Parts: sequence; structure tokens; C-alpha cells
Amino acid sequence: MQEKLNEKIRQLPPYHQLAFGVVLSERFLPNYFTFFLVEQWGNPMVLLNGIDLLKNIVSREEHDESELLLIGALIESVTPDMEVFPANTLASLALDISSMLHECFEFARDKNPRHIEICSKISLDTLSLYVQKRDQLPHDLPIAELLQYLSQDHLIKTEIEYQIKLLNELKPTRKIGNQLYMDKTIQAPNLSFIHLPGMRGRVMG
Amino acid sequence: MFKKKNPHERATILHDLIADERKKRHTTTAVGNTAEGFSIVGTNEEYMRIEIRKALLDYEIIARSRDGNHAEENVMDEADERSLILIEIGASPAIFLDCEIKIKVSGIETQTEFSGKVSKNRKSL
Repeated sequence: MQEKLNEKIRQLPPYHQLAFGVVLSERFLPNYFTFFLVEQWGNPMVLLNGIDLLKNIVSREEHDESELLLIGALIESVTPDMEVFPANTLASLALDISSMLHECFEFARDKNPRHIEICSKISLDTLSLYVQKRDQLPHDLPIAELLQYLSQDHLIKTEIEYQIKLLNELKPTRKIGNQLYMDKTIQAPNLSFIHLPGMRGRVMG
Repeated sequence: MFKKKNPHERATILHDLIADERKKRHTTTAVGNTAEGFSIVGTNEEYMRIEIRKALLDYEIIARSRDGNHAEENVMDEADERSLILIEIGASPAIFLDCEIKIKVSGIETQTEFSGKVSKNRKSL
């Protein structure tokens, strides 16, 4: 499935590829906000600034290296390290969104579609982690069983369909602007953290 | 019996399967070889990433991630829980001082270098 998504990504013009990465990343920002609120660590505004910068790069079709260096360093400073938050799934999800933005910044530099492919892959990884936690799957479930389980999960199936639909809509002639971001980012995956095992008291405060 | 890769090399190979650089920098993979012929693979995330799980071999056991544990500690605790004797251990980045002490006290060998620093989530040993 990832190969099918990658193929569609590679067919888009570069700044449409980046717009795809930006839309995907922005939809996962709520995961970082949840981590920030629960752990009282990090700064979601830095990630929001990163999204704004990326949208600006798509609109101008050019980037300023000094801006990329600055935002890259800022986001690195608010990215949770798993040595500090071991076995903390919210931290893993926050790390994933930071990684998605990092790949978008790298793409802005070298226009290598591999970065956007990784961005798409991370979004599915993040949902896979969430599903494992939500359903309390055994940590050592055989990989074939795990992949089979994930492939049948509604959240993951919906995300794949969403990404294919978005890639189909991002035709080279489509103008990239606020309308696209508003229409597409509202369809964020519906992750309920309150219902995660061991999370209710922490999310509700 | 065939010779297994040294655990530092195996941990590095597995960790390098993580596609994105930022995640690679902010997570750890550890591998321990046991006297009984098994290897135990651990991470400092709650669930091991799928790209690593796909590459595991038949004799490689996934360590359960315990609250607050580093990847190396998960490997050591898993060995204890299964009554396996850990003889060597390796990790994808340098091993922090707190794990270094536990490894040395247990007489486990390693080819991974030690950072000499206390890990960021532990103010003291």
C-alpha cells in the first residue's frame, strides 16, 4: 500500500508534493498538543510556526536557508527524546509529528520525494502505534498477525483512503492555497486519548 | 551453532532501518545475546517500530518495554524475567552511565561505547 502512495506522490510536481506533506503533518498536530498538555513539556507554537513557514514556501515556491536552519533547530529543541520519556506513547506520537515536519523541511531543500514518502509512512506508523496502544496488543505479537490486524483497522483504512483521495485531487493544475489547507486538514484522524488504557486521568487532568 | 552478530552491530543495523533521521536520533534500539542462544531486542518506546519488527530473526525475542526503562534495561529485565543469562549487550547510540553501571555490575560484555553521562531523565544514579 505504501508503494502505491509513493507512486502517486512521485507523479506530482515538487510544490504539490510539499503541500501534501504539509497537509498530512498539520493533521497530526493535535497529538503534539496532547503530549504537551499531559507532560507539560515542549512548545506547540514552534510546530505551528513550522507549518506556517512550510505553507509560505509552497506559496512562494522558494525557501530561505537561514529560516529553515532556524526553525529546524527550534523544532529539534522541542522534540521529545525517548531517553527522557521512555515507553511514553504520547511522546512517541509527538516525536512522529516532529519527524514529519523535519522531512518536509528536508524536502524544501533538496526536492527529493523520498522525504514526502517518509512523511506519509510516518503518518501510518503513528496510527499503528495508536491502534496497538488502544487495543492493548501484545508487544511481541508476530509481525504477520500485527500487519493483518492493522490492515483491517478502520482508522488506518480511512487514512490510506484519505491520502489516495488527496493525492488524486492534487493535480498539477490545482492551485495550492488556504482553501486546500482548510478543506483537507479538517479531516484529521479521530484519535481519542481519553479512551487509551492508563490515559484517562492524565488527559482529563 | 552459528556465530551471531555482535549485539552492537546488530542493534545498529536494526536501528538504521528507521527511515526518518529525527526519529533515529531520538530513539534507541538495544540487543542482548544470551548464553542459551537467544537474542533479546529492546527499545525505549512502548511498542517497537514495525520496520524493526519486520527484520527480526527467529531467535530474536522482543523485550517488553517497562515504564521508565531505557532500551538496555528492557533487554536486561526481559532476560531476568525469562531466566536467560545475558552475556553481551549492545545499543544503537552510546550507553549512558546509569546503564553502564548495571551492565558492568552484571558482568555483561559490550562493544558499544559508554557516553560517560547520566541520561537526561535521571538526575542522579
